[in-house]
Amino acid sequence: MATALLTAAGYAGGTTPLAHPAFGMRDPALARSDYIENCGGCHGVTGSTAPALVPELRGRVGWFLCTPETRDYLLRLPNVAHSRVRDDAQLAELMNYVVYVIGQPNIPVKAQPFTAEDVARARPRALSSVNLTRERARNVAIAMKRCGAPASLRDFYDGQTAR
Amino acid sequence: MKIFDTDAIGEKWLRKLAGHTSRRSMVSRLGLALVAAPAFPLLPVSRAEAAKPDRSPEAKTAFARNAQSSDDTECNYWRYCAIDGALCSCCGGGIHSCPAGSEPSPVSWVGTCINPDNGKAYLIAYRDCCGKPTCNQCFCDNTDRQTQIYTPQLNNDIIWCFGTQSMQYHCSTAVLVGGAE
Repeated sequence: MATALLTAAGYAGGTTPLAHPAFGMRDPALARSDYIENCGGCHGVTGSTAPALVPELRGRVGWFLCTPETRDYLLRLPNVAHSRVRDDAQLAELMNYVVYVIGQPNIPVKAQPFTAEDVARARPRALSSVNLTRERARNVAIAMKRCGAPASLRDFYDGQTAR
Repeated sequence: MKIFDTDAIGEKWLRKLAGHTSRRSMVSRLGLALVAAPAFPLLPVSRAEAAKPDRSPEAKTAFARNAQSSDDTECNYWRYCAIDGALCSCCGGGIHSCPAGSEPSPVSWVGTCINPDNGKAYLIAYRDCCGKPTCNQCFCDNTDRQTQIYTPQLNNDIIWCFGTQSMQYHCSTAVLVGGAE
């Protein structure tokens, strides 16, 4: 399986900003705070609010880093592209917190962190007028085919269909 | 004739300087830079948005200026800066806990409130307790950081009873999640 066990666990507590950008975060504490404030209500402080019908991020969202298209999908999600975090670099760091910290350990090897330029390119192309469920299913299929993501990624959370 | 004419000395010095200084010299460039500097911003991009949020007393909302930290059954208790609903602490529960017979929703509305005791900002999750009829005690509607209803994910009027057995809203708790940057 093309995954890398990253030692990002330490950043989950994130209180000391790093001198160099690790996993695309110059300030992991701010990225974490921004995540909780803007995403954590629905997605959960640690990336899961199952059984609420919200896509679970913990251990899953990293799969979407695997192709240019699936990466782009994450940044074009309406609540990401239209986030009230208006600074592109700051939003890129928030999204790097999501994929590298909350998504661990399932992060494709060689995956590159999001940059401010990636965010700037995606924002005007927000997925505002498409069926998001269908768009998600399409991107999950890509991650499964190209990167070996598990079939359970089709569900919003592990064990959803068993309920 | 004056012996010490400052005006004449000044003029003589300036004329000498002008005569000996070319248009491209350091001195003229320095002068030009001094005059032109205010016309250009020092940074090419606006850094205001990238900066950390302003938590200074002047930037505080009306709620934050009047908040108290002693009574969690009052709407102006500091952690309630973005709460919308009945306070569980008035309904048989606590600021962190649901009253008996109701269950906490896994999803919540997150606000950032300032603790008047230390001036620091904290992340607060407003977790609704669901599965019982609405408790009609201590109804509050504080609106820090919320926007109009046409941005539904940024409005706290929505009942957040998703993922619970019943969508019936009972009351709201205010769980301290951690410090805000």
